[in-house]
Amino acid sequence: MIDDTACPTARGMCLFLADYGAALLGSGATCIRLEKNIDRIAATYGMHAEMTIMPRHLHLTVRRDDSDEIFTATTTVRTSCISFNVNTELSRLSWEIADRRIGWADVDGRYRTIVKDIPQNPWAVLALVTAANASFCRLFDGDGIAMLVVAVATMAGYYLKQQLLGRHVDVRVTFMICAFVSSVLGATDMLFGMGSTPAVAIGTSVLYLVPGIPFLNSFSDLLYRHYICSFGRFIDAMVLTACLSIGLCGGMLMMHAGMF
Amino acid sequence: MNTPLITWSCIAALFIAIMLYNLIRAARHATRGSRHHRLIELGTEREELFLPGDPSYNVNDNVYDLNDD
Repeated sequence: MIDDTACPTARGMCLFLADYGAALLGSGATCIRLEKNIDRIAATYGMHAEMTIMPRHLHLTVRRDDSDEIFTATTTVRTSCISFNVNTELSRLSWEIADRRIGWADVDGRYRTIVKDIPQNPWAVLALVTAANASFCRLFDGDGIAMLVVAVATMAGYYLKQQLLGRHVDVRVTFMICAFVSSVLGATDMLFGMGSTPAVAIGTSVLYLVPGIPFLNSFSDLLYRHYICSFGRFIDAMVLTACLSIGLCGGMLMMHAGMF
Repeated sequence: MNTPLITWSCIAALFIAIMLYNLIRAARHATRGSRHHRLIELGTEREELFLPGDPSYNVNDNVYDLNDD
């Protein structure tokens, strides 16, 4: 524990917490985690934070407990990719502040380092997603041929997703295109009469696109009665699922597969 | 007209084309950064026959102008 004599003003604390909260929400944290982290940091320096969490904005008021010092800030939530690493590190930072293991003078520098998160190797992520989705195929009783087809379809679709998102194509259009490509390639064993589980291959070839984290976060926010954020996240996830379904149905239609 | 086969072939060809394009672009980027590391070039004698311990000279210098003092 360090002896920290530097004490922020309500303005300094509020501006930092607004930035911190925007980064935490943008990295995929739930509302309850945001509340606890911000309360913890503010309480360390004898302040109290009240916040209004909206799907795309954070409205924060910080008040010093024993004075009239009060400051309010509104910030936009960053739309960045979900990163559990940033999420964990920001939460760890809040504990370090609360346990006085880091001084206020060093907090901003540490925060900037965390949010400058170095992205993981895209090839490693591609390989892992491919392996994971092929494993999903096996879980649904797909045979070896189906697993191989799903691996190739996933690799193609996820690679395309990386390229399109890297060029800032709208995420909804990206999902449609990637689901279409994956479902067409996932119908390979059906087209060429290979293997015994072609339906499993088509069905599991698009699973990597399912927005699981937004759904889970939506449910978590619902449990803690953040209904607006919960509904916002749920709608986001539903839109992406609908785009995925459009791409999948388009692929199945073109390949004359299944329900068409 | 076999629509599924045509669709599949187009998607597969497109994917292969995208992969090849990005591979070629990555290879060109890797060699463009330094004038001394082109993919194909006529190298200088110094670059072809380098021994550890050779003095480091600018490759634009005339390699036959060495001063062995």
